[in-house]
Amino acid sequence: MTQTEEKIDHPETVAQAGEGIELLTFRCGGRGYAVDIMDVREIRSWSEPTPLPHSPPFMRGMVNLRGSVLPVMDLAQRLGQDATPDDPRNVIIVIQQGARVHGLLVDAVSDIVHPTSDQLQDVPRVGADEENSMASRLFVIDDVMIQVLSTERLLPEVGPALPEVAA
Amino acid sequence: MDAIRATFFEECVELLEQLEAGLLALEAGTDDPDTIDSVFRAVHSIKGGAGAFELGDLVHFSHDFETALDSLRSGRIDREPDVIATLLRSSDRLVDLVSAARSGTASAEVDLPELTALLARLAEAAPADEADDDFAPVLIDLSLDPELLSDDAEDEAEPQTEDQKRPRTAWNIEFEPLPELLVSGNEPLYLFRAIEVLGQIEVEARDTDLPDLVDMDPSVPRLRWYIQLIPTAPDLTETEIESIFEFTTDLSVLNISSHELEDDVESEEDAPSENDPSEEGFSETEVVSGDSNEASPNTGPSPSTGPTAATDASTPLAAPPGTKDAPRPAAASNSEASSGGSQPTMATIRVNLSRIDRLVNLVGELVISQSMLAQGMMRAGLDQHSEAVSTLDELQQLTRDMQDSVMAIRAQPVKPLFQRMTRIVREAAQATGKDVRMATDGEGTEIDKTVVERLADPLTHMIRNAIDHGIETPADRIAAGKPEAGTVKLSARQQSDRVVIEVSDDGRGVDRAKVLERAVSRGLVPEGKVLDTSEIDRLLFMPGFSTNTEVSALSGRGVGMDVVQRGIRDLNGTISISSTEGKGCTISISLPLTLAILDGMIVRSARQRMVIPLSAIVETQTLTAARIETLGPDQDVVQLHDRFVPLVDLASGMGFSPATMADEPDEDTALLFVQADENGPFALRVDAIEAQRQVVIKGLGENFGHVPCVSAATILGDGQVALIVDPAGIAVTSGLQRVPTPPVPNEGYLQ
Repeated sequence: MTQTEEKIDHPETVAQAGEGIELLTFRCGGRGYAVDIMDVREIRSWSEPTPLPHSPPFMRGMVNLRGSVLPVMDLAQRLGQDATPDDPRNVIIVIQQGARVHGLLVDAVSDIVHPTSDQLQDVPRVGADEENSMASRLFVIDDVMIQVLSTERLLPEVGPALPEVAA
Repeated sequence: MDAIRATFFEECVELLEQLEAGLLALEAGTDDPDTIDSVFRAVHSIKGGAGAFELGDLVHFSHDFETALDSLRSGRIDREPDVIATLLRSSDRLVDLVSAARSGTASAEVDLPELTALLARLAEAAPADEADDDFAPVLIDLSLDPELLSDDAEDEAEPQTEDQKRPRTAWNIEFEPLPELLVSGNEPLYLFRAIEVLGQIEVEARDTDLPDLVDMDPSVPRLRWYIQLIPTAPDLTETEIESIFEFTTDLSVLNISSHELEDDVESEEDAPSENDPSEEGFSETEVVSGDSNEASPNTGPSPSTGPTAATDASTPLAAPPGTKDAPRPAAASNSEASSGGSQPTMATIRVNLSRIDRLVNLVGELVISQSMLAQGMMRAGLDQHSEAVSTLDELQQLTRDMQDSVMAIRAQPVKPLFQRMTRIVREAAQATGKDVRMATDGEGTEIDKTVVERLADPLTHMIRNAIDHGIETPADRIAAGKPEAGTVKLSARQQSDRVVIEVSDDGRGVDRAKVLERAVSRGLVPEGKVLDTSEIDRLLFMPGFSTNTEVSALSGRGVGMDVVQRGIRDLNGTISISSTEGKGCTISISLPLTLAILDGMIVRSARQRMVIPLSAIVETQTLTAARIETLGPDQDVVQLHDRFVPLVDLASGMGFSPATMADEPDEDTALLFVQADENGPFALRVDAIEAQRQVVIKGLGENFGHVPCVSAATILGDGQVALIVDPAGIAVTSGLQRVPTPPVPNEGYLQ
């Protein structure tokens, strides 16, 4: 199965294809997504974020993560969908990318899956659609397509002034 | 050895602080003998350690320093202001020497010879009992020595009298200094004082080898000593004794032996000393140099365990026993010890900063959990007077105290830093022959401890530059119609999420023509290029730039403003300069608050709670009491005393979209008049003022970068995140201020 390694174009999320990769799947805006479980620090229940002015719309604000300030982005909005309505059943997935810790607001967490490397597909290029570039791999589980997101590309760049959208 | 060396330098830092503090206290007129003692001990400890590491410059200078201090201690010279000034300068020099020794670089011999001469003059007043260039036998008045006694003497007193009843081991220590001993800055007296801590000692000097006075070389010790030690602790080992002599390992011949002590404390080896060791005789033998022709068996160097002996200079010396047959118990000297007063101890430990940070975060969480608990209990409808509620109040008090204490560990006021700078000013003024006063402002401003420590060097350079280049000579000043004495002002203030420290002088300002000419001649700027004034001013920060044609002793130490700038950049700070020709020059350093607490007012606006720094708030008014006039659409002004100032709604000024705004004005609506930067005050309309509180600043930079109008965030008592408002940012985004103050001054030109 390791022969598929050659096909990997976006190794940052799915570091090594094949056995051993564990993905956390979740629903967001009616679609299925997944992130590498190694990037997930914890899953928090919903709490009202404090909005931050002059930030991109998908930045919902900040919540208190045990004494430190956790930025929370609305994943649906980040992926170009409508904003996630406030709902206490929403959850915040806390992901870590390098030194940065970020919260992803999603509808609900689904499962932890162990896809085999032949289940993982490359993302086909579809026009210049922004949201495609967030996914690094695709796979289908229970007849539902799951996009494996690259945490690196999800997080907005931090500059002297916050850029509108950083891809 | 490197580890020991590092420890020595770390101790030096503390000792130098102690030294400075002591000298400043003396300057302020303290008449406490302990202060002089602490100063003396600090210098001595540095000397001892330096000797062990063969830091010749340091040893020599600290020895001269010590000798001068001894004159002061013994009252042979008075605490005249100029004496203290000399000592302060010496202390500065000692700092330089230590840091030079630490970095292994050659020390700058700025005014070393001059200072040494000054110190020698001070020391001359003394019968140089410490000086190795004095050969005349001198009597020491032992009544001076109890000043050196500290509480340690009391600690040992009790067990000693008890232990005396049972037999135990006595130690015979034979100590024969080699000729280099005194040159390396060691002093046998202090070794004996160190031994004294271990128990009761009896010291005999053998002066049989003393040459005739005419043949005597004062720098070569000629006396040998025999010490009998009856230890306080019965389990004393030879290693412990040897460790006292650690610094003299290669400088003396040491022979330690022990024997079981009977009822008598007679020495095993009978001392050949002829003179009766009376008190005077004892002290005399200590300072007389003698020649030893009696070969002592060499025990070889003692093992190195750590620089303990040098720091043992603070070891108390009990008065020596009157006769060798009937040693006076140490307790007798204790009465003298207590009369001397106890030495204020500065007990410190070194802690890894990350541990403190963790503690800070944990306590922050504790405070939040505690207040959430309180809110939960309120909701549960518990009786306000119930035991649980009152206990919770106590808990709240405790957690708050705890939070304050933890914060206090890291945040430090800049006052000590500024205090150190007063000496820099004095020193620089003296070196340039200019009359300079120093003024300080905002000494209570707190910055992170690491920032405070790392600011000392940049500030020193800036002050030296200001005095050397900025302030004119008295004659020039009078000619320019200025007061004869120049002023260097150091100020610190918190400005939103940064601390701004300014060094300003009222000197001649930057000579821009000269600066530009120099820059062109050095090839830093292409010829003919037109630069505006601020660009020219920034040339000063370029590496290798110096306007003074000759390297002056003061600021021309091979480093310039570029080094200052680098130091500030390392702290994530920025530096900017503003100068008015003939009026003076101000250099501002803006530093981030990596960790700071903020006194803030918690307000509500558009259903958001935000924190406004209390320092920015000038006044508050209720909306109903305020007189508001409308100039045009979205242009309101409100009367503050006798003038109208702009009125901005907080939420819209912050940039929250109107959709999130609501709340019609009601009786809670209030106006906060804030003053941001140098621009005039303006009013912020808030929906309600909720509380005034100290909040922990949580920086946003890591995840958000710079957010306009927001300096940081904090976590409120209910666990909610609240933004800390940057009033200056609001002024900019609301167009109240024509020239925005950029968070990062444009330094692109310099790079």
